[in-house]
This record gives sequence, structure tokens and C-alpha cells, in this order.
Amino acid sequence: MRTFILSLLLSVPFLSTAQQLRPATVDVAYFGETATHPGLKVAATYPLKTWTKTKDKRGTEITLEKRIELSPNLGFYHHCHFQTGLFSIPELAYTRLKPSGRYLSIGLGAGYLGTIVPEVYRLHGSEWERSFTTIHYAAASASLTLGKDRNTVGTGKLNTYFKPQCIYAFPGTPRGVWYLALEVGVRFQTLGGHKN
Amino acid sequence: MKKTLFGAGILLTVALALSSCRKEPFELGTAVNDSFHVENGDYLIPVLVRGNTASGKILLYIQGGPGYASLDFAHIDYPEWKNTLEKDFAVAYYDQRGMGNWQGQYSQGDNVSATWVDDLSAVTDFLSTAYDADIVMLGHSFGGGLMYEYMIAKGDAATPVAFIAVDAPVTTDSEQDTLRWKFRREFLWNTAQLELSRGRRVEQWEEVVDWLNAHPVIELLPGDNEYELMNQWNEYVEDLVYIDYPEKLPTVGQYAKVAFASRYNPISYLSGRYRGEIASRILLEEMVVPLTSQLGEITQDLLIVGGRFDDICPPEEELYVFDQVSSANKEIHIIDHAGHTCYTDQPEAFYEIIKTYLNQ
Repeated sequence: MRTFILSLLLSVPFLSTAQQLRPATVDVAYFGETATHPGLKVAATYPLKTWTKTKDKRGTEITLEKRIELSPNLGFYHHCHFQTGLFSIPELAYTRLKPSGRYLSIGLGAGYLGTIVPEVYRLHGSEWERSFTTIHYAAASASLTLGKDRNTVGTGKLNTYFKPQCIYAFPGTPRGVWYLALEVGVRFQTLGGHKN
Repeated sequence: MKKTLFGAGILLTVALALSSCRKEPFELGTAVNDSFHVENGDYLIPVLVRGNTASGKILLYIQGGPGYASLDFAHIDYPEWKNTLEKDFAVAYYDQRGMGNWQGQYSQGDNVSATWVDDLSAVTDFLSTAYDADIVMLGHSFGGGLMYEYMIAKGDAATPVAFIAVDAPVTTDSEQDTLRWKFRREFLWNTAQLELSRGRRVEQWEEVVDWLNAHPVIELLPGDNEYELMNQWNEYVEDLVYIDYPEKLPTVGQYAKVAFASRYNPISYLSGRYRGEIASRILLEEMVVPLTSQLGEITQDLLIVGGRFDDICPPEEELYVFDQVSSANKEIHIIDHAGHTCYTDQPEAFYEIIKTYLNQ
């Protein structure tokens, strides 16, 4: 729990209302552990470095925008009869945005995953008693995001994305635990933020 | 922004509230479906109890393998007990340590088998207390061997009122190699006689009989091809016995059900080199545990069920176990037209045997 609180404290400055720390975008997503076990994830994105690259494609000049971004996040999932996971795994991502509004990100993250194990009982003499059981892990993640700006022509404030990812939680037996997750969400541009 | 975060917070709260809703634990009923964990030291044993707990009898299923996930076995209803045994009684399934559920850090102990017997004991005692029910253990294959170890370790202090061993071999220790191959030779001989009497594959079975007459003992041979006789036995069994009684394969739909709706994280299970390591450790332990020499210490009520065409645990071996145990109340049933999973090969016959035994 201390690790979780520490992760939250580390994330809080990014979510603060200070104007200079206002995130460029805010993500709200369905987070499915093994795709089908539902959860929710909220993330904020801060571009650390942005640059453009122009290249010629069949006689047409196109400009690609590239970014290094930091995304603190907070989420949970519920896997019936197995566990409820709460996590904060801040992610560093490299993003490549096409003029069409499509973008691709590759991200690596490190943070915390805590799980609540449901319905744990122990025998105490001839009586049973319920036990509240939590397990704490450090977590590392790797993700691939495919996104599309849905409102490029208009205000440019919304896009959707699809983000498969794997998470390795440790320590565990024998060394750690692998998870696959699928995130499908919307990305909101905040006032003064970049396009996606 | 504020609205978005507020909405997310509401959703999070509702989801957590819903996940905590549950009826009172361990209420008796005719169609229960209870999932929970039993804490045993550093391990949380996942348990599923399904069926008729109001009957006052719970069959505790002990998975074979070793290394198979029992909860998936139940989840896809592989044995097809939902509409048979689970209507009359309750059936409890639990994942053996590290075989399916993968949460936190735990140890397998110095001796995996002993640790697993301890887990089995913890689940048994918990079920008996929580449901105030009579527990009957039902161990299949390796699970039956584990059950025998429990019976020997606990003796008169064992919690279950009876035990059922299904297709459960005991000759897994290296010193019993001779005995194992004696049973296997007898199995092939008896099967040949049975099949010849039924007029099935007469030419091939006559060849088997000639081969068996030429080799009164199946043993290692001197020289480069020391496993020649064992390999020939395997070949005959593969070609003439196993083809009629193969293990039932799960369907694509059942695999998908496990992948996307399992009661645990299937990624850990599928990437389970660890499971293989533990299974190997158990098999090595079994090679030095002389289970056959301890069978006389078994005194509890015992039902042995086997398949006439089971090449992994031949009925000849089960008859040997039946003779060796000291139980005053013991029964044995060999089901015809059934292999190593007699409960799927002949489900009705299996159901009738178990039902009759439990209703005694």
C-alpha cells in the first residue's frame, strides 16, 4: 500500500491544476485485463519533446510530428473470483503522428499494481473467518497504441485509440506474473494542449 | 476535464461497489456456485464448490496430471458432471499449488507432494467446517495417488468419510518398475483375450498374443536397444487400445472460454514453464516414495473405479491395490469400454457407480 501511495504522490503533481502543468491530453479508457475483465483507466499526457520531420512520399511532401510523452495514469480492473487490480504505471511513450490524424505510440512504463483477492477464508480452530487479502507488486508495462483523430477538421479536441499492452508484475512465484490487457479509449485535448 | 474526472470517479466507485456484493457465504442450496480461496500459510488455494450442498455430501475432486488446472476443468464442465453428480451432490474443485492460479509469492516447500497433501488437508477441513458436510475425496490418476498419500499420512485422523480412486496408478517409484511392467504385460494379455473373444482386430491381436508368449517378462534388454520390449508394448497399445479410448479433447469454444473467461489469469498458466518444473519435481519425488509398500496402511473406506482399457493405470494394477489395502469397506468396479478417463468414456456407468456408492 505504501508503494501505491508513493506512486499516487508522484502522479499528483502532473494532475495538479497549476497552469504550467496542465496536461496536453487526458485519456479515459476501458481497460480490460485479458481484454474481457473490465476496468477503467484515466491518464494524462505531457509532451516532453516535440519535433517534426518532412519527407517526400510519391512527389507529395508530408510532415510527421513526433513526440516523447510522459503519461501518469490511474486505473483498475475487476476479474471476477480472481482479483481486483488497482494500478498506477506511469508510461514514457514515443508517438508518431501523421497529417491524416492517425498516430502510433510505443510506450514503456513502470509503477505499482495492487490486487485485492476476493473471498479469502482461513480456518481458525473449528470456525472459519474471513480475511482481507491484498498483494502488492512493482509493475512494468509495454504498450502499442494505434489512434485516430476523429475531429481533425473541426475543433480537433477528440480522438480514439486502441492500446494492447502487457504488464509484468513482480515479485511473484516463481519470479513474476504476466498480464495481457487491452485498452480502448478516447483522448481529449485540453485547452492549450496539442492536437492529440 | 473536471467533468471527465468526476465521471471516471463515479464509474470507479460503482464498479468497486458492485464487485463487493455477495450473498452470505456457504449457504446451503441445491444449485450453489461458490468461489473462494482457502488460506494455507503463504498460499491462497482457489476453490469452486458447485452443485447440491443441501445433500450434505461434497465430493472433493483431486486433479490428475500433475499440472492441470482444476478450475478450468470445472469451468468448461470437462467431466460433464454438472447435470449428473452435481445435481445429487456438491462437487468441490481446487487448483493444486501453482497449477492455474498465480497470485503473490508462495513456496512449494522441500517436498512438493507433502505440501500438496497439506493443501488437500486444508481444503478438506475447511469444506467440512464451512458447509457442515460429509467430504468424500475423488482422486483421478495422479490425483488418486495424492489421495492415497493423504490417506496414509492422516490415518484415522482423516476428515473424509470415504475415498474414491479413479484410474489411479501406484507403481510410479523406480523400484517398482518390474511390478509395473508385470501389470502392463497382464493388461495386454487380458485385453487381447477379451478382444479376440469379441472378434475385434483378430489378426493384430493374435500377433500380440504370439509376441507375449515369446516374451514372458517385459524388461530392459542388454545392448543398444534396451527399451525394445517396452517400445513394442507401447506400439501395440497405441495402435490397438488407445485409438478406441483417446483422451477427450476440449473444443475450440472451450479453449476460448478458458482464455477469455477463466477464473484466473490464463497468461501465467500458458507461459507456465514453472508448472513443468513442479510437475517434474513431483515425478522425481514419486520415484523415491514407495507407495506400493505403504498400501497396507490404508484403512479408510475406499472405492476403486477403473477403465478396462486404461493403459496408464491398468485394471490389473487397480486389482493389486484393492488386494493390498487394509480397508474393511472396499469396493472395486472396472468399467468396460473405458480408458484412462472412464468418466468421459462411459459417463452413465461412472455416474451410477458413484451415486450408488455415495447413497449407501
